[in-house]
Amino acid sequence: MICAFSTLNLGVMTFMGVDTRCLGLFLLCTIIGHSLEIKVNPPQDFEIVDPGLLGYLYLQWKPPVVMEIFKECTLEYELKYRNVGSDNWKTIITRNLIYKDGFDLNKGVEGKIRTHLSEQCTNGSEVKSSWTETSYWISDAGSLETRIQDMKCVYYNWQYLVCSWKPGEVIHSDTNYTMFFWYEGLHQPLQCTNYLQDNEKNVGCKLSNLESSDYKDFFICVNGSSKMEPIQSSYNVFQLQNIVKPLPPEFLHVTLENSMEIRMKWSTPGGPIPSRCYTYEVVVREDDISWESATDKNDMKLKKRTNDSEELCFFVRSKVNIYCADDGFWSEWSEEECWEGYTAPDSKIIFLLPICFFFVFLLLLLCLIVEKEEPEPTLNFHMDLNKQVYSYEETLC
Amino acid sequence: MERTLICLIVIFLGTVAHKTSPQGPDRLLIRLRHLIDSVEQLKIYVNDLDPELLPAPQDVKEHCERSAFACFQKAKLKSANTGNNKTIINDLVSQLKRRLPTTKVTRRQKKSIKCPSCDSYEKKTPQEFLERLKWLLQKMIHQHLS
Repeated sequence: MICAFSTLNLGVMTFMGVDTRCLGLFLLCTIIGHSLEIKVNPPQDFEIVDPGLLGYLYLQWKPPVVMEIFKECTLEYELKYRNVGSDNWKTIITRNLIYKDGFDLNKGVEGKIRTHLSEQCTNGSEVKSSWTETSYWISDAGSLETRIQDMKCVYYNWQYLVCSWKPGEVIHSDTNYTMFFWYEGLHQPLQCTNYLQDNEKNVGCKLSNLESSDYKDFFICVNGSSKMEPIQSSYNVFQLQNIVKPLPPEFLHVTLENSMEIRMKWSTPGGPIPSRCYTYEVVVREDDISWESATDKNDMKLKKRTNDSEELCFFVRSKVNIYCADDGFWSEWSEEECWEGYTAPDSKIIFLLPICFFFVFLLLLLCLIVEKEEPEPTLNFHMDLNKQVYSYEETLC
Repeated sequence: MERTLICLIVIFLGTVAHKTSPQGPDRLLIRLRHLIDSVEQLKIYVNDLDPELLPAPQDVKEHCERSAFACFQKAKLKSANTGNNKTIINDLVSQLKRRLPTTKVTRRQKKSIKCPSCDSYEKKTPQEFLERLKWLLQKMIHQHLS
């Protein structure tokens, strides 16, 4: 444009008598040339809306005003958002006019958005608008010290959600807290109906029968009330499958495969967690030495360290594996199961004893039968046979 | 007559044995677990991936999991032009694109549900794309086992 202007100056100076229409045409050309640099406006009315779902926010906007030639084009929007204070922006590109996601409402949320005009529309390279920004802070009264502390939530055996907290640092004695929760599928947030209490103050909540609540954001808000001062709310977001603490395995079993190998078995804990969703940690103790091992199966084969160990024990704990959840808590350790001192011959005897008893029983039975039958056969049999039977009896009983 | 009877009994026992024999390996479960392993591997090489944003389904509705997975498969996940580890990445990406084994349940579902098109999902960074893919796979495994 600067070049065009200097050219124009030169033109004016050297061609003093040139036609004004030519001059006008020249000016028009430079203006059109300047406006051929394509621009697009940012989206309008960009705002963050809180529908009162404890952290699920709607980021929405309206399409920008565009030139006639671009009215048929599909516009895309580049949206960046983050919690205030975070270093990293999360980025998405969408053609919709709304984006919904879960946020941590303990901090503010900020977002910025711009329009993208695709290459097909501009017959050249992609054109981006400038950014338009907005932010959102939940309007909350109360000072930080009134908020609950150390909020912990555990989803026991994928069945019962227990959340517990400690009261705020500085609160009045009449303060009591209430907990609300929401996940997609519920029409609105619900209040806890089964509080855990300490001195008649709510310090936790137990929730069960949470239908279709896993694999999606679960939002919690704990607020409070007091006659003396407002209480600041505390927010939590997580996914239930990532905070599961299963029950420990049951029915532990140790068997000998051969003189040096042992097989340890256990059954999957009862409950809704599928057996293939577990991973286990086993601790084996042979006399005074312990070692750890891990497996995804319900049994484990190990080689004994020494031939003459007196005691071999193990216990096991379970956790949800990475194929079903990102994270979780280990269960409590199971009861210890031991195999106490053995030597190969002894075990064989123990095995043989019942068989011996069985044979002895059979022989006794035979004796009785033969005794009963004796009167008849002796009548029909030859003298020799009789003697034989008689001698057979003697040796047996 | 007796031979016919014996033949019939043998055939009958054969069919009963076939039905009561243990099920073959769960091919769908094996594949889904393998896919999670592949995604975890790709996350290690995320800096060598092309940074172009990809459609990544989230908040997938009930019964639309397979359709959402198909959207993940369609996405143009690839290694960066100047990136290292091209062979490993291409190998892992081709693992993701293999067709999933079907089950009786999924064959029934396919016909009845109307699921969002791939275009309607927002595009995200490759890092976010892989996280969301992993979450979808975990959900599918849990559903399959329940």
